[in-house]
Amino acid sequence: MKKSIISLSIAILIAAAFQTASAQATASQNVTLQVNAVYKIATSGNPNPLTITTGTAGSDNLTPVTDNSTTYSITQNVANTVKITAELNNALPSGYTLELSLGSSKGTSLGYVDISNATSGSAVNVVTGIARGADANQTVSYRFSATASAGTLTSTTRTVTLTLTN
Amino acid sequence: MQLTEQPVDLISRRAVLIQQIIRIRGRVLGGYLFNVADGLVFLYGVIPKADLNLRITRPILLFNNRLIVKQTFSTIFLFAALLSIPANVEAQIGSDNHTVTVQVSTVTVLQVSSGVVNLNITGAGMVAGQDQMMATDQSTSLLWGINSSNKKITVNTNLVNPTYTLKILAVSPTVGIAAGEVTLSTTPADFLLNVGRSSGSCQIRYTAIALASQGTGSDNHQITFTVQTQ
Repeated sequence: MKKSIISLSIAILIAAAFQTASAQATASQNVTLQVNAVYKIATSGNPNPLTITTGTAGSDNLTPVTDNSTTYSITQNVANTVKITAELNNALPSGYTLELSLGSSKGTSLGYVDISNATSGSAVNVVTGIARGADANQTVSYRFSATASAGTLTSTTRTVTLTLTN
Repeated sequence: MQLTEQPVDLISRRAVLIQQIIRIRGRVLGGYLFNVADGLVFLYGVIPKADLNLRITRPILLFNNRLIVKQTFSTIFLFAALLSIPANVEAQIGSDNHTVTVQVSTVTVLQVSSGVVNLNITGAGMVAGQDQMMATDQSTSLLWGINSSNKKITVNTNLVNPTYTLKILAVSPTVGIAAGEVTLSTTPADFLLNVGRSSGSCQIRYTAIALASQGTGSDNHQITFTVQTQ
C-alpha cells in the first residue's frame, strides 16, 4: 500500500508539473516602424555686421572683412549625395562681393563661394556630397569685399538662405 | 455488538468507499470501510488476528444491525469491481447522493488592447545636428489574469535583424513591477515581474530609435508577450 501511495503521489506531482509547464499564455502585437525622409538644417544665429573700413593705398580693392561667429548643423537620412545651396533675397550692387564658406565633416566644402548674385532660382552650391547622418556646429564664414570705385554702401541687410537638398 | 463474516456482493449493495482505515489502536489494520445499502462493510486484507481480537471478538462486526463483513477479495479486484458499477444499478436505490467537485485549473490569460501599433519617424520636433531620431507610442495596454503563483511576463520580437532600435517599457502596472526599458530582440526579456495570482494591466510604451545615417525604411515587428515562471 505504501508503494501505491508513493506511486500515486509521484504521478500527481508529475501531472501538476506538466500542468504548470503547459500553463503559458501569449499575446502579440504587430508593431511597424517607419522612417520617412528627414532634412534638417539650422544656424546658430546672425553674423556680426560686416563693415569695410580700410584699404591699401594704391589698390582699388578695399580690405575685406570676415565673420565666422556662427555655425550651422544638419541632419539628413536621405542619401549620401545631399548638398547645401545658398541664396540671397536680393543681389548685391555691383562692386560689392559677399562670399560664403561652410565647414563640413560629412561632405565636401567648396570653400568661399560668391553668393552676391545668387538669388532665388540661382542658388549656388556651397557643400556637396553630404553623407547620411548629422553634422553639428560647423563654422559659417562670411567674407565681404568691395572696391573703392564702387563707393560707399549704406548699411543694408540681406537674408542668406541655406538649403539642404538632394 | 455482533460480528458476522460472510461473502458480500459489493456491486449489488452499491458499496461506496467511506474511509480507508489504516490503524486501530495504533496498529496497522490495512482495511477499507464501505457504505452499502443495508449497513457498513468492513473489508480488510492483511489484518493480524491479534489486532482484530483487541477490538472485536471475531473479524466480523455488526453495529446496530449494520454488517461488517470480512471480504476475501483482493483489494485491486474490489476497486475494479466498484469502478464498474453501472449507473442503472444506482438508479434502483431509493435514495441517492452525488459528489460535486469544483476544480480550478491553471488559468493564464494575456491580452493586448490593440494588435497594431505604428511608429512613424518624420523628423518633426527634432533638432538639426542630431543623428538620433525617436518616436514613441503609448496607445496600447497589456491585460492579464493569472491564478498561479511565481509568474512574470516576458517580451520578444520575431524580427531577427531590425534596422532600427525598438525599446519597450511597462508603464504604470496595476500589479507587479516593471522590469525596466529593454531593447527588443528575439530573446525573451523580462517585461513585468511578480504578476503571479493576479489580474491587472499596464500601458505599453514603445520607443523607436533611428539614426539619420541608417536612412529611410521600415521594420515590421511581431511582438510577443508570454507568461512564464519567474
